[in-house]
Amino acid sequence: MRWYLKALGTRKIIEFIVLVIFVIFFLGPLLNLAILAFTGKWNYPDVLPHQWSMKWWTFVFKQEDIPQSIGLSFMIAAIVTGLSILICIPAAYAFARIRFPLSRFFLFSFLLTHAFPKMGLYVSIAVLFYKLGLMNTLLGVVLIHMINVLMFMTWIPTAAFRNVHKAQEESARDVGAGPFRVFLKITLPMALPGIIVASIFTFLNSLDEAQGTFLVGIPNYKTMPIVMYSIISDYPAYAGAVFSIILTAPTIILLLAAKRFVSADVMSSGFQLK
Amino acid sequence: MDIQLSVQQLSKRYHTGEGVTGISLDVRKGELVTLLGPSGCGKTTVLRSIGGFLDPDSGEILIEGASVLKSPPEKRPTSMVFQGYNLWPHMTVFENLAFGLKIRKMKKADIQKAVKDVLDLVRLPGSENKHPGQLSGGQQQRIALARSLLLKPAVLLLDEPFSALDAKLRHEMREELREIQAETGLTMVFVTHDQEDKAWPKASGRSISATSATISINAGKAT
Repeated sequence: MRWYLKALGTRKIIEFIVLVIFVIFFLGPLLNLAILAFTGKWNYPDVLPHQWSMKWWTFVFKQEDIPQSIGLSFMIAAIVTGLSILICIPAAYAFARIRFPLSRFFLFSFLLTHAFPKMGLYVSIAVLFYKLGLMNTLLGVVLIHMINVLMFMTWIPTAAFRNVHKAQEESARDVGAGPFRVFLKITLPMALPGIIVASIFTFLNSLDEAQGTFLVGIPNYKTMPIVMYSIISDYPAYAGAVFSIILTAPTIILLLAAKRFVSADVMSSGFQLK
Repeated sequence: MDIQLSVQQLSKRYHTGEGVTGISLDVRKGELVTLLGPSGCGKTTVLRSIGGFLDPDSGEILIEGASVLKSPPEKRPTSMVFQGYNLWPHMTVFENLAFGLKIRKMKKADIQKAVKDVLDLVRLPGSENKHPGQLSGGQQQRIALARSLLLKPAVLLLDEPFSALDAKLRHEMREELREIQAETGLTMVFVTHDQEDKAWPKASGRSISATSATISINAGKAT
């Protein structure tokens, strides 16, 4: 054992210890959550529950507003993702390809919504929404969600479009494709990984949004995170654990599905200001 | 005299003051003309104007006797091989080559045959299903050349196509291009800043140069 440690060197050992600490720190709470969610009976000093059960799952799904809120959340997230693709992809293409005055200023301006405390921003938006009659409407909630994702949805695809070289578009024109076909067959497929990453990000962000929805959507639009607040305060921790697994599951599933596209490169290139 | 490409009094100035003024050029059918000059002297400007990627300020460009100035690149009977980034990495070699033919509504069987033939011509047979990322730089440029050859352009434009390759490979590619030119009889305009390109490799035994003419743009000086 001793010789083995010696052969490894102190550096490797320290790296391993740091990794273990990180894993515990990172996965510990999730593990605890999973155990809580399947607990039947758990008395204080025991390390593990001595009875496992699904009763909190049935409890959660029997609550009237929970399945409804899950459906609502996914619907809103889908609408938000679809709309922001429609709005932001053309904008991103323009930022990447067309030179217009103040383009960098406009690109930067997307950062503004992230520069202030969110609640302050939401309150002032709410004042505006009252005047426009958007409070407690689906459109209002969707708009609030979109404000949050505009930056990612524009910046990341802009970088993706910039990475498509002019010569690649020009050689497609050269062999006979019109501008529209070039965009559809060359530019868009080449920028797709970035767009997919941004879309997944948007979807998850919308699924997770609570503050703005709380202010604008209550009482009619109770999404998953909002229902979660009341579950955590009104029911035992077990129900909360079940619900947060339901809330986390889409994130994990989507990220695994998009593993091919999601890389630090795609993300970071979106935040390089050129 | 069979003039395939005629450039008359072509002028294009950029905001920076660079560009070309009053360039005239006649290329006969089956000729290979080299435009030689240092970087920034405007040879690419001339080539891109012929290809339709630049709007000249004044002048006229005729291909086979007809003006092409009003046509966008996709409508011109020219084809261009760029310095780099010619191929589309999300498509296989076959898809890259077939792209232009599909737009021309060619039949599937004909496309397959044409692609196979042209891959033989550029000496990369059997690479249909590879992706550009799996090919070396020289192979990629040969595929790009093949794609242009497939379309049987009236004028083939080459914008320093071999500049990113190492000296030995460049030499080989030049020789290959010369052979292809002899075989197909295509009219070509070749842009380079490399003095070496002027003296085209001699074919074994014969001492003819494939380059019919070498033209120095702006008296060989960068403006």
